[in-house]
Amino acid sequence: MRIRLNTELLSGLFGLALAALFFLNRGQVGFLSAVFPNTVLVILTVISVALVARGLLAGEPSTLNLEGGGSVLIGIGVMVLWWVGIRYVGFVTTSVPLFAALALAMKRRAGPLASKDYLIAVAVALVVVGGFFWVFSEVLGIRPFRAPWL
Amino acid sequence: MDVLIAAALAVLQPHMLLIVLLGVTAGLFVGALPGLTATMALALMLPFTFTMDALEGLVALGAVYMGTIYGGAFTAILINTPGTPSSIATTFDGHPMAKQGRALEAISIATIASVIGGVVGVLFLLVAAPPLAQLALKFGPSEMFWVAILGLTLIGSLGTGSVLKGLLGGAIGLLIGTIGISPIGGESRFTFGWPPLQAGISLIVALIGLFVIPELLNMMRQGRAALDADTGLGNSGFRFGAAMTTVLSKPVNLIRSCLIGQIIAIIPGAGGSITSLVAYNEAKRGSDDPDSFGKGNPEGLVASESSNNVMVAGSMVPLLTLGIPGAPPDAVILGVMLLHGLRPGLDLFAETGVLANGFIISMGLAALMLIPVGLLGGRLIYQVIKRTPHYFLVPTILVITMLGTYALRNNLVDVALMLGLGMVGFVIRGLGLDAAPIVLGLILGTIAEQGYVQTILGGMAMDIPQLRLLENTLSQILIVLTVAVIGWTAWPKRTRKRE
Amino acid sequence: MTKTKLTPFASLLGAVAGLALAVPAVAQDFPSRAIEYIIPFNPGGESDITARMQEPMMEEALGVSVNVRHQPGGGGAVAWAEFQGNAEPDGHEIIGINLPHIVGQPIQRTDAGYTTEGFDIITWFHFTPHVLVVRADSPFQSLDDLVNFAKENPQSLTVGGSGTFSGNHLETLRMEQLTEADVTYIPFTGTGPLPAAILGGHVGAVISNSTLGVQMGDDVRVLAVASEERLDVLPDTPTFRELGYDIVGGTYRGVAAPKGTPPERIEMLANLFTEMNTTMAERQVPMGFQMTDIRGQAAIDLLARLRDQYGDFLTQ
Repeated sequence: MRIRLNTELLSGLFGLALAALFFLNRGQVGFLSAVFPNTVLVILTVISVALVARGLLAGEPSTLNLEGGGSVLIGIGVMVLWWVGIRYVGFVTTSVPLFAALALAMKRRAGPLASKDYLIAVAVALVVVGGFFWVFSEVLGIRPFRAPWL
Repeated sequence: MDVLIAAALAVLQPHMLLIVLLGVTAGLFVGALPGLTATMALALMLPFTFTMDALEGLVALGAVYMGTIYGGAFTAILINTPGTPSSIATTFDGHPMAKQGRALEAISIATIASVIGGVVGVLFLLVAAPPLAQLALKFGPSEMFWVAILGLTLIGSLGTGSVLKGLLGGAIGLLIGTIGISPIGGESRFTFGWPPLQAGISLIVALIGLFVIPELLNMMRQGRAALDADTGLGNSGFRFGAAMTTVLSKPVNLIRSCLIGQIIAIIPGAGGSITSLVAYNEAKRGSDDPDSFGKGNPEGLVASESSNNVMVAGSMVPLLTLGIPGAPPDAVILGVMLLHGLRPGLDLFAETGVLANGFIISMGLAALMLIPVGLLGGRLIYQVIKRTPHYFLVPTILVITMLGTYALRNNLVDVALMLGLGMVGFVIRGLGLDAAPIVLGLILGTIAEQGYVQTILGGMAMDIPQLRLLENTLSQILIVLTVAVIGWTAWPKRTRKRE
Repeated sequence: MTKTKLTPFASLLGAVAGLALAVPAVAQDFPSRAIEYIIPFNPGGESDITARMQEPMMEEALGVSVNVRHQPGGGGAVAWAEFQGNAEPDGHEIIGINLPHIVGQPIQRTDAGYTTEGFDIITWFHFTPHVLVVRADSPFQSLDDLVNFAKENPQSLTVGGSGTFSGNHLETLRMEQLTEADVTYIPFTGTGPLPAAILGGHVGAVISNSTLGVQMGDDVRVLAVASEERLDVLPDTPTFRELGYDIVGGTYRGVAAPKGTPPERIEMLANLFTEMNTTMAERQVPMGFQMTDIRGQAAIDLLARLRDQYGDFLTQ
């Protein structure tokens, strides 16, 4: 699927939204801490307004290819789940099944999966996740995650 | 001269060469992992250096440092992901080359450029350290402010798309950089009531989030095609001689990039993150065919990789002569020197000349060692990435980036920020907002803010404190340069449009 | 490298602590697993390098591995907040703490995320007193020269230091109050940029830790030191007290366990750190550190004293 979007207008609006978000949360800070962010907010607003104006007056809609959007949404979902799992369940216990699931989901787009594929995916996941976890925790000395399981 | 010979003899011992070899190799793989920085690699080395004598310890640290900065080039070329901030510009032409099936050629070029850069930096350090150090001291708060502003003008020519969108990206980067404790006021701001945000958004977190995650999402969307347009990451051969010819065929570019690397390296606090961007930009500007940049022009690759490896020895100039760490990894080296009872400064050369010069020579050796180690290691990493099916590559890279981001500060919040920024980055990339200007804004924002606020504070006794920004000669030179660059960027664009 | 003589005080402490440690260490079931030693600052800093030196000694004494991990951010606040929220109070998790940071941040910020009282302090193991430093070619030969200039030219003398409402800043304010000098304090981000600021003449003077004064050697002149007695490594530098101003202050570094850790484990760790100080002194005293052993009630009193000082300045 392809859609046509006025990207200048949209990026201008994104800039304005960001500026508003930060402006409303600027809090009570002294001159030394406020002078620079305030300047940046002004600059950001000016650039955003310029983009909005150009988008409205001389906008050239560009074509955006949305093909594979479903895979992207799956990818984003997997990433969110992954983080939540690391935080509340455990690194290895979360990473092995999600690694395998992501690999299988991506492979499936190329063709149907054989039962052998599932075994291979889990095996690769175990080796990669276990291997890198060992390297990072034992060799590079990162602190263990604070989660109930490994 | 006797000192130099004695120093060379002290370093050219078999066990020293072994330390350099191991250090470079270890550094190379650490540098290739996104999230693992040179600073962290050196910190991990610290306990080992306590068991060594001073020279051995410094040689090991220098070798790891050299390897790390170089290792960042691999992932930049192969999967469009800068392993360290200093290899951002390597992605611009390195990855397009890989996509055209010239991955090994790109790795060979990057290696040769890195070696030349590394050796040039060592030569500068040997012959010109004292005058360069004096120049470094001229950069006070107001000069640093103008350096940052000059750096921000890079945005005009960095992006491939519209200048206005590049500027928007830069401003967003500046804004993200203000999250956390303010550098001068010491107050927390933009934390949205959430204490972990006091730590701010680290450059590395933003770098991984904005470069890697969109790339992974893109691979999920397009499959293998995202990685290599037509040739399966290519099948071009080893091509060492051809790569050498390519690097040496544009001597002006090489010399200019090395000089830029050296000058930026001595500016304390500017760090190595922008050297490669500045050198890349100048290569593009000086080229007869600027439009070929970003599409796989080896000149861009040479500029980036030679300049960032000059920085390794280059940033030692203020460290060894004045005790001022020029880049974050240098702070670790300073710590080791102090622990061994060595006081950096010109006395270091006078009193312990063998040690100081030996350390410098060993960095040159480390640079030369990149040829065998880099070409073999690069080939290995290339084969691994080429032979791994994309559906295993994506989750593997995801695991590494999550562990790497966590390892950065042992903080799981950083991982969430990295993933979140990546998702936003993916969406706004669709709107034409590139990652490079955002990261540039993030790097330069802190420098600009510190310089501005400190200068104004220093001018409190004046009627208009802001005038202090214009006082020094070096500041005025930087202002003229900034204006010239803006004029240059705006002018040919207009003439080109008319054609 | 030359081995420097220990101060008699530190040797005595070490000997006593060594005896005290020998007995209980064998008798207890602690430690039963690796010790996590968090450093809330960047690699390469004074806290990090100190911990890296302690690491192998702790491993030898305790018989388990000791993992030094960095968790930098927010001037230490991120690690301290996470530690108070999540660390197990069983002695296997310890964290580096600094003064005046853990007093100043919760007062100054609304969202520091931790409290000054939320630690069981093991010991403050060393101290770097503040020093007032000028470049070697500065016209100020003594503290009096500097004070007189600052009185005659209000605000035109700049004094650099690390951070706002930090120990350096507080000391500058106290110096202004006691000497009636009027200077402009310029904060820098940490101690790292200060040598360049002073050598490049970007500030007129610097207030920083004694280690900086020692490290910069002949390039600078140390006008005064904020310790109770002169430092062995800076024998010609008078203390502020000798010059008639009651200024004693600096940065204390120590270690803490989570609130609720068994007292006998705290004591055992404290004895270990004190014992290690004898070895640490060989390397750290020549660098400008003073070894200390401030624990128990004395550690709590130190916090209270600093809080009073902060209160004075914030209410002004």
